Amino acid sequence: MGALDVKLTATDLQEIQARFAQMEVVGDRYAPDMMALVNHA
Amino acid sequence: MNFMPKCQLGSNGPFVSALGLGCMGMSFAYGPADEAESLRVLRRYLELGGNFLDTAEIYGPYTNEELLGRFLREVSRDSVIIATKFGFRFSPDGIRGVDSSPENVRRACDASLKRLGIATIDLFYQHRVDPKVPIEDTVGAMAGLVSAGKVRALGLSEAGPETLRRAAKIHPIAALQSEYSLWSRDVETNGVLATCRELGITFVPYSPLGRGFLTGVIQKLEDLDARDWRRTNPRFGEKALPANLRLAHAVKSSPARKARPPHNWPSPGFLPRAMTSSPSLARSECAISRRTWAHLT
Repeated sequence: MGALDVKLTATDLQEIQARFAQMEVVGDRYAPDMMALVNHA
Repeated sequence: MNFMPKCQLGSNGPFVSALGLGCMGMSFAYGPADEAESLRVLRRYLELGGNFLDTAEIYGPYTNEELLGRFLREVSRDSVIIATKFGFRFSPDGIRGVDSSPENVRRACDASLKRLGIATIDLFYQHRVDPKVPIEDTVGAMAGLVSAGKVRALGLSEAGPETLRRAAKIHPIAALQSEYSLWSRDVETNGVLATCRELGITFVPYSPLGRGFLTGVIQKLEDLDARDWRRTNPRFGEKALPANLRLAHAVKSSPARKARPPHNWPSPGFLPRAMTSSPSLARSECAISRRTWAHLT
């Protein structure tokens, strides 16, 4: 619950954004049968 | 009772605590259930100021709602906001596919009310959009449940922008629940978050810690129970999991991580800034489910 107290500055967010932008996530978030249930329309 | 910030679901929905408690993992998908521990977690969550409990008919199926039903007998009804979901058909053999027909909407609502032991569901979500049933028909049936006093507010889950627009023309949609975390950011670019903002729909992200992976507690497949559903998830696959560990390492060394001691760091420091509402904090989202909660209790 202490996480509610975490405050991120604009610099923190930029750092996180930059760090993750360099990394590719491997794999879809669901297997195909479950991914088919995600609505894109 | 501790204080936890509250936010309203939609423009007329109930006020919920900034951290919700996703209860799926207590009965479904993430390994063996432990009812005594789950009840302890639920009690402690309320003591800490939380009030937003998330379940679904499909979790079990049925057993997660039944667990919450037993818990709800211990607490006053107005101390909790109950969200549940419908949208599947079942047979004795298991799940038989999506079904958001008006008949199934009404059947599921009555069955959930009975299992939960309550008179009104605070937030009733369609769990997945049914391509065979126009969303207008589904939301029309859901709106009928509001008129009948069986449901307070309506939500959708994993719905796209156009579906949201069509649904909102039938009845106000208070919430959309979809996956959102540092490794699932589709909603930032596919129009979902923008549409929620435009229509005044509260976005409730699920799996904000990537099903527990971003905590770093899962280092290899063997760290998951043999029956854990995540073993079948592509991101936890034999080759994907080691490759994705870079992401968990990046989280560990991030600014928010530095801001709190590890056991006290469940998630919201990492909730993307575009979020418009509270996260659903699934038990096993937190490396803490068994450890930090033990600290808390």
